[in-house]
Amino acid sequence: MPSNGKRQIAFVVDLNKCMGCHTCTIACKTLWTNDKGMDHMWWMKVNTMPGRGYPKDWEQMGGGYDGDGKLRLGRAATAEDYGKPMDFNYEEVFFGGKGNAVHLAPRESPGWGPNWDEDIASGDYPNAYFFYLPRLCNHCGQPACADACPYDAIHKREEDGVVLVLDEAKCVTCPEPKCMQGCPYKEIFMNPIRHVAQKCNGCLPRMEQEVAPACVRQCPGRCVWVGFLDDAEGPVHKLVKQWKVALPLHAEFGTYPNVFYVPPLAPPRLNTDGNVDESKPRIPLDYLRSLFGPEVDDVLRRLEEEIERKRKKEESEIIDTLIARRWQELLGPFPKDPSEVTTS
Amino acid sequence: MKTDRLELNGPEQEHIGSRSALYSLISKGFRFPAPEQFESVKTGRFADAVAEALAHLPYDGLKGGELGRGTALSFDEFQGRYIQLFEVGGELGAPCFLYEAEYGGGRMKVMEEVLRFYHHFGLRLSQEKRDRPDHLASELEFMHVLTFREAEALLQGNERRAYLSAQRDFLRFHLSDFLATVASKVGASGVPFYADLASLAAAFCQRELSHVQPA
Amino acid sequence: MADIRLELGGLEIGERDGEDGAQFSLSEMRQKPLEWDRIVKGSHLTNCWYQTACNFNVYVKDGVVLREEQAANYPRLNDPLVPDFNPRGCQKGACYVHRMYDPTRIKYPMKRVGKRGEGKWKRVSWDEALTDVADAIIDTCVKEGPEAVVQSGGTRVMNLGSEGTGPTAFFIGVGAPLSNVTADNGDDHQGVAITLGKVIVGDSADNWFHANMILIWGGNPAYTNIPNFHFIAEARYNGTKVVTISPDYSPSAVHADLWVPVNIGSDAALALAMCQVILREKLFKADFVREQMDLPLLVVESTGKFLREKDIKAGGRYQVQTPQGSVVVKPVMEQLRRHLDQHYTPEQASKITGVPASMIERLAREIATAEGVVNISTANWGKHYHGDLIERAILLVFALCGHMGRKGATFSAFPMMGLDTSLGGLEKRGDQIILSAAGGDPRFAQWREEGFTDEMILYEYVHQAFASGGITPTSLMYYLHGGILDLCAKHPEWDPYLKRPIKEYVREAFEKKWQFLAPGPEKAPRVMFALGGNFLRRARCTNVLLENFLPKLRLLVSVDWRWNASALYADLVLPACSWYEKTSTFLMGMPVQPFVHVVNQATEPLYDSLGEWKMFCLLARKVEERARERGVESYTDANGVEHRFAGLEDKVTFGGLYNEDDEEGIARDAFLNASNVEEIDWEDFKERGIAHYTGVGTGMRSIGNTCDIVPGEPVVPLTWHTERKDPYPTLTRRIQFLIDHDLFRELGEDLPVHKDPPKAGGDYPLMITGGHARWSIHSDQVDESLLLQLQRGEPVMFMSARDAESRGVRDGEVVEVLNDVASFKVHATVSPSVKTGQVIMYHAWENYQFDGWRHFKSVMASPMNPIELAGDYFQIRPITMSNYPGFSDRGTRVEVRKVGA
Repeated sequence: MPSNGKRQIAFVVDLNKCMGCHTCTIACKTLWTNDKGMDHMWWMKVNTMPGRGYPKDWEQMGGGYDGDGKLRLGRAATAEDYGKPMDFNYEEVFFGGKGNAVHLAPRESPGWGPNWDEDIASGDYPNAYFFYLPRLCNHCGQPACADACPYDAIHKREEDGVVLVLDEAKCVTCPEPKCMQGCPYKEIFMNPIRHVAQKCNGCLPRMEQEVAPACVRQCPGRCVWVGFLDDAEGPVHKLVKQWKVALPLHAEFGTYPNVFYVPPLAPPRLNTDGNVDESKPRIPLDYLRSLFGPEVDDVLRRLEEEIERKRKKEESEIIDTLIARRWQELLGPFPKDPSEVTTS
Repeated sequence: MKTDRLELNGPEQEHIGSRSALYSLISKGFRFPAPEQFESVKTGRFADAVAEALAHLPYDGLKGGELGRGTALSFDEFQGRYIQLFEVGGELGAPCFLYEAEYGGGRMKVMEEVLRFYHHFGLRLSQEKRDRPDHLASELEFMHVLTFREAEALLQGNERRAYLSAQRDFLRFHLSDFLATVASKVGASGVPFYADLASLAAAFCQRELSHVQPA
Repeated sequence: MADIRLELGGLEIGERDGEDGAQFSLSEMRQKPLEWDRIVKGSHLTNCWYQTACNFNVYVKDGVVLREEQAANYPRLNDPLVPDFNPRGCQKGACYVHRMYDPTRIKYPMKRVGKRGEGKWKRVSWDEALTDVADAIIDTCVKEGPEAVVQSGGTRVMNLGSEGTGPTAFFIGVGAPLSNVTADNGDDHQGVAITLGKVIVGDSADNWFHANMILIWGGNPAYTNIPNFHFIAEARYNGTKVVTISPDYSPSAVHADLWVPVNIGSDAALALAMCQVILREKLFKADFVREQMDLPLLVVESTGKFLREKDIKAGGRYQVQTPQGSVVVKPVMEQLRRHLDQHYTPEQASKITGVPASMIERLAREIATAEGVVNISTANWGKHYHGDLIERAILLVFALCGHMGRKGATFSAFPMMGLDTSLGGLEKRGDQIILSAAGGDPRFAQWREEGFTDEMILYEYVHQAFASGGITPTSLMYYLHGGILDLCAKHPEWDPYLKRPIKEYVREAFEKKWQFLAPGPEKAPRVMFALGGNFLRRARCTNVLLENFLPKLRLLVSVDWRWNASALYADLVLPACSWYEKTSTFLMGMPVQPFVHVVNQATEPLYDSLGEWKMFCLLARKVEERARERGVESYTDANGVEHRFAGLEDKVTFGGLYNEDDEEGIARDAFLNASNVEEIDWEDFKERGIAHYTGVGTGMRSIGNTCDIVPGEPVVPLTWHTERKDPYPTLTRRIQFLIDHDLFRELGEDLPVHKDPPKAGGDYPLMITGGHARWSIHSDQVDESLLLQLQRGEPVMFMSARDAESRGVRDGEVVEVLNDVASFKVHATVSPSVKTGQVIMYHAWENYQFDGWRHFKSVMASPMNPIELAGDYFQIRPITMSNYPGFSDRGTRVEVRKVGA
């Protein structure tokens, strides 16, 4: 990881726990992107995978670095890739006096949205498959958004590795959004009203007061951990560095992302006669490799072995960590309740 | 020293005073009408007060119109029009909500920011009204307070830059687009008083946007 | 201009003086952390059922509630190896403020000025609105009797604060019936009621962690149990096998170790075949079967009825002599074994269920040999026409294997736990009922002699409330008064198992006093309160109700905080304040997370809204005032009892104990007077937001769990039966699988059987299933703009890739869904997770979200299943939550046609 900062904050998302409830999405939206010009901004969102995601087909838009570590600009997401923000005709329906001639719907057809693919599986019944993938800024070790910015408006903080749009004054002068072209995850958004790029701030104002990011703290599925990557005692370090059961998403983009995923298990496939077919997994490994790299095979095997140990009532430190019996374990060095500190 | 009444002397003070008075009048016009307000409209007192304020503005070209002077509507009818226009619709079609956040932006952030503005200048939402902070009348009332304080600062020889910055930002980020939308919806309704009021309000805030230039 | 004045109306000078004129920077102002005036504990007074409720911190600035976040202060459990309950709270609760201030709020009392449903309104004063309501109530009480004043009932009225106590006290005061909406929702668990003698049986989520297998069968907790879902994922990591049985590859199948697809409505056959395997391979727990079940009891071969004591002549020892002569008897076990061997071998069941015989055997063996299995089944089976049979069959699997009443081995049905409060005598505490029965009811001594438990005595009293018209099932009201029964009478061919016309079954049920309805079939409801729920969105056959039910109403009043379907069709709409605007206590709690929650008032009621408590106090006063003005004094109810208008307010306010502004007093005393909750004082409770249940108490809605509640330990229902050996409240005092009721014998359901679902709606190739939604609790958030952004903005219907393809339908296109009853348009979502032949409509879209307001429930023909009319049998009589006919929608037959993009 070519970051030369002092410390790096990182997230682990357990895809075997995420139930797709989007509480993280809402926690983030209501805290940070619920303002004018931010309708299309979902710094945290959960996508059904395989799927086209948000923005639409982001995986194909390019960005990041090539094999030699050279910045490779892709394309910026357009309004169409986000879909039209939905504005509803409540006043027409409730008070328009037209009775059932008008029904409640977005005034303009949205075309796409942050969760358009919801629960749409791939494959064929009964061997359909899907899983939920929460996505946020990866606070990359080598942030392509920052590299791409011609005005040096985006910075990676030394003390925690959070990638921030630091200088909005510089940002507004940019004729075209290079940062959006640079970020291969399409996690940086343009505010058309304020003419600035905006992105996940890692809930820095919370973390500075020892309060965990909203998406972590508010997750009822208890599937997101936050912590410093170098904290050898912390679950994030153990899962990512020690046991290597949490993998980056699209590491080949070359940005050294700092959100790591425990890859998804799935129930076994079924034969045409309805019996279990153990010959191959329900979620095609090729697909998972395309997201999480070739290491995913080993991780899935490892998870299954460790669960099997638990079935036999044997010990497994990995599984105990993933279970996270105390909710506070997920919050790492940020255990405080926001009601105890001054924060917004 | 904060006061609630200012005696104005000279054109500069009158310019600010008239702006403040106009914000106050328009704000009252957008509140749910009480009998006194109706009387003031019907007798033309409201239109006169607007005309008086317009006459002292630092810029020309705004017209108040009849603003319901001599209206044939009864009080109940007048109130009914308000309800139809802004709350429950009716023969005039769907209502035009008078809440800023219904016209773009996240509801809570808009409300939060409006509250922050109020709070910054020592104001809070009336605990009696139990309404949202982004109601048009309250936002206009806030501009009335800011301009009043500006006049007060001028009178007392105090710094007034903050009031000007806040006026500009509040107009730019909150009132101007909001009022333009309301005017386009209500202006076309042809409802006496309210059509005039909405058009005047939108035009006024547009002029204000270019007029208010903090140093 | 000479002078200007500072004139304030909507704003006021705050406690803190403003900044001076030198400083203002927008960006600084924006970045400055907000200093909150107050942070209070709150929750959402909606019925999330299994997930209810979550403790939130509610943040208030200048009287405006700006955000909420989970409080996450649930205590650790006693066993350090079990995960705790934190943080609890879902996406809907986490953006409630966004809803609270949105344009769907009802701001002022409104009176309809156009036709019903036309959307033409007039704003009126509270006085005018209440006068209209009072007059309609007076007219109706005098002309038709108080039973014609009805409520659609909603689950929100079951809370102990303002929204529950106000209306309930008012209805009781008027002498109008309370409503029971369980079967109308389709939330009834008739199969469990028949088998266990009760439906309120549920475990806690931490109990799942102790199981060897979690059987998700008839549920989708990934949508419907968001705050507790982590226990499933964590248990799976811990080695618990998670098995999901469902027609579609559901969001809850995604995290399973095994997913077993099954044909829609064939679950009884699947379960019965498992039982066949369990018996055949002698995998059952003999001790449990012998002690807890009816299987060892003798049944007379010729009549199919239990051999009762009265049947045995003294001295008959080897040959059973009965007054009717000698009979051949056999144990139920033998009959069951023969029944299963004959009809439900895995091979036979395989044809019905689509599950291969080998998979059935594998499941049976795994379930039977697991140390403990728990089920996760939400309110699904009640929504199947033959859901009772499915439930009896699944229960049989659990009972045979002894997966009941042990830690990590439980069967859950209708999870509910409640404070057994005795507030003002409104919700009588069970111990007080029993005490007074002991003192004054001549039947009491006999009950005790016959071994009645407290639970059984309580059910006697609940049944009495039904028999006297004090509680009425709204489903029966819509069937009989709303014309839905006529619909099923017109289509007898839907259910091939019917032996007689449906109306004949109904006539018999009323004649024999098996069922009760207020107002009775000869009358009609005249004033209806849409209260705490949204009946025109909820009930099936929406069109039929609009055509037949609405015209009968003199006045339809909607009391709600949001515009919804019922409000849009109402004559008067009264704004209730919403959840952060009043202080309240949840009556309804859940064993799933055994905590009582409080809601602190975070801000004053918005706009012109009122808390229901105040609203109904004022209404009571208005009724008295209008009756006086009109010179009307009294009226008579259906039981011939005379009521007087004078004194109504006194009745509602418990003799003036709580005045109209003492909303908090209601919530406080409901909490303080309960016996089954931690003893902490009210202010502590408000501060913490939660208190632990300490027992099931003696409330009707709680006692069925029949187990001790120990804070920090899992809730394991039925242990009073399995450990303490208390009898079950059934005829046989056991878990009972043979029902020798004549109607059950007539319909061939004396033992659990599989029956094919009826072709409800007509002979069409597709079957609708559904389930509660991820995005809304009933309809409370279904049209919430922020949450709709995370969907497609409009209702969708999932359909299989194959059915879509054969009809030329592509994802996102509009389709028309139709059958003999109605049709609606909806956007198709196409996914291979859906079974061919299945379409899925998730819960609670509002009527006005569909083109032409053609609601998706209109097609749900919901024929009445006559078996649900049975009564006059020990455990089969209307009691709270069960044993009256309910609505069904699963398996409704439809066809889908492409409309276009």
